[in-house]
Amino acid sequence: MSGLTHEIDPREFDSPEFQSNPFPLYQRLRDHHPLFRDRFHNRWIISRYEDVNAAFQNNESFDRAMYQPDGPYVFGSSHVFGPNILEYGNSDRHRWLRNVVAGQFVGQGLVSFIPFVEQIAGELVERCSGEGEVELVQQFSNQFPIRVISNILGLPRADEEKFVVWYQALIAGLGFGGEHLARGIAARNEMWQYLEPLVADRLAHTKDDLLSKLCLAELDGVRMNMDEVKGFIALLLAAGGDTTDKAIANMWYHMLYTRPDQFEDVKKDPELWDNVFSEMMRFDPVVHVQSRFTTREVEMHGRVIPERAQVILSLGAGNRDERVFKNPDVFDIHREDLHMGRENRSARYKSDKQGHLGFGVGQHFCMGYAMARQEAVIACTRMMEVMKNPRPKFATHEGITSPNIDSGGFRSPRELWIQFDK
Amino acid sequence: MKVVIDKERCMMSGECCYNHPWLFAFGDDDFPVVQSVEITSEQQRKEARQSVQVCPSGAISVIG
Ligand code: HEM
Ligand code: SF4
Repeated sequence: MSGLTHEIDPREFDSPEFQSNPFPLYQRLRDHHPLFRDRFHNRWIISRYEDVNAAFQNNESFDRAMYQPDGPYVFGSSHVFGPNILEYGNSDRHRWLRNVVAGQFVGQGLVSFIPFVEQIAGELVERCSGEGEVELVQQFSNQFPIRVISNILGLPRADEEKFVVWYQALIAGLGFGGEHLARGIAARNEMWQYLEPLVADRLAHTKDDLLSKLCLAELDGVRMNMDEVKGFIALLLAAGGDTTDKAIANMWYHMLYTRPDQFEDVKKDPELWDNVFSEMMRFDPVVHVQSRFTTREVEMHGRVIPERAQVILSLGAGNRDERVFKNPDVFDIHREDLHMGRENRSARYKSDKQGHLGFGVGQHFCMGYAMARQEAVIACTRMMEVMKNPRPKFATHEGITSPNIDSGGFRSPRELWIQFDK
Repeated sequence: MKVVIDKERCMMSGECCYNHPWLFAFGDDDFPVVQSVEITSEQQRKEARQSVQVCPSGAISVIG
């Protein structure tokens, strides 16, 4: 076979074929271009499991944010969310800001939110179970995590509907540019105006909610400023909302269309939703790529990535690496080589199993990993309790897509109709 | 003040290493190892106590 057969034209990454089915290209990357220089988009791409995992853990060589030559980070104030921790790179300030909130989403913090999650899941399932059919994306998953997070923050329940609307505009503004971007920014500004008196209130009268903690947390006697607090809230709404809602839709998609045989197992034993979550996060997770910048020259596969270059860590490709997972292209909730329970930030496990890369690894490992799993599993379990004998409304489905690669390539079905017995 | 890790309990989450890199690092066996630093300042003592809190498996304890 000539070497040319495996050549990759970088424009393939922008093609509709890639957006609906990126896996064949991932395979060519892993097998023939484990370090791919994409001159067209001016970036490098890493795709093998071991390489992606190692890069996530190599803070000395890879930074989340871009350094100026003379030190400080470049801040993307044009960001739809406003200033947020994603822009603090690997700095101590990132670690501190993260720790202000990270503890809220694990351990006791998480346990205390479960009743909220149960309650909101129950209300929403009730609301969309009357007709014997539901369009999961719009009627359920799009609504659910955002309501949970606004509760955890301590925002008034009466204003939840407002948040759902702002949130949807914010998310649309991330992905589609133009008119959507303008709507997204307008929504952010409205939301910020709304938040200002609430923040002032928490500064004056502390409550037992996340908003108070964000307002009052201190590092060396210094608090976050108003814009940082508001930026953090916008980030939590988006990072915790848009991802988790898509995760729920992906889980149902795979049960209804990819493995209806294994869906029977889940119907008999709803605890298997945990496995569905894990395998979904490996097989085709919501987020497929994360971006890093080199802080120095990095040698890899016999080549050198220069300093200050953008490197794409393709965790979606790493998760399908046959060097790590047997029959990687088969969705299997009983798979024995994947760690099925809660994820470790280190990607290391005491068993000899491997973890998926769907939450990233290391310093920027998803802060909401335990929360997302709880939300998704509780939502799916609740739905199955109320919606008896769930089945696809249509025999065929266009599949999971990523509508826009610039939105981070978030992948999920556009719509998903489910029928059930009332 | 001394910090110790119970390997039996440790689930390799890595939280200690990422949150307090001056105090913990992964060893060759992928378990965290307490670094040989004197814990003297008030800030260091505070962080050492925080590390007990970030550990999801209760494997870290602080003596003294
Ligand atoms: C299934 C749902 C979710 C997926 C697929 C997901 C995915 C990810 C990924 C891949 C990263 C790593 C970013 C990087 O390496 O730079 C990340 C980071 C993050 N996630 Fe999630 N996430 C989910 C749910 C959540 C939830 C529920 C929350 C909040 C409650 C959340 C908050 C965050 C935050 C704040 C970060 C940034 C952490 C940092 O930079 O230190 N995520 N997420
Ligand atoms: S935080 Fe606890 S469980 Fe995690 S690696 Fe450290 S000692 Fe082990």
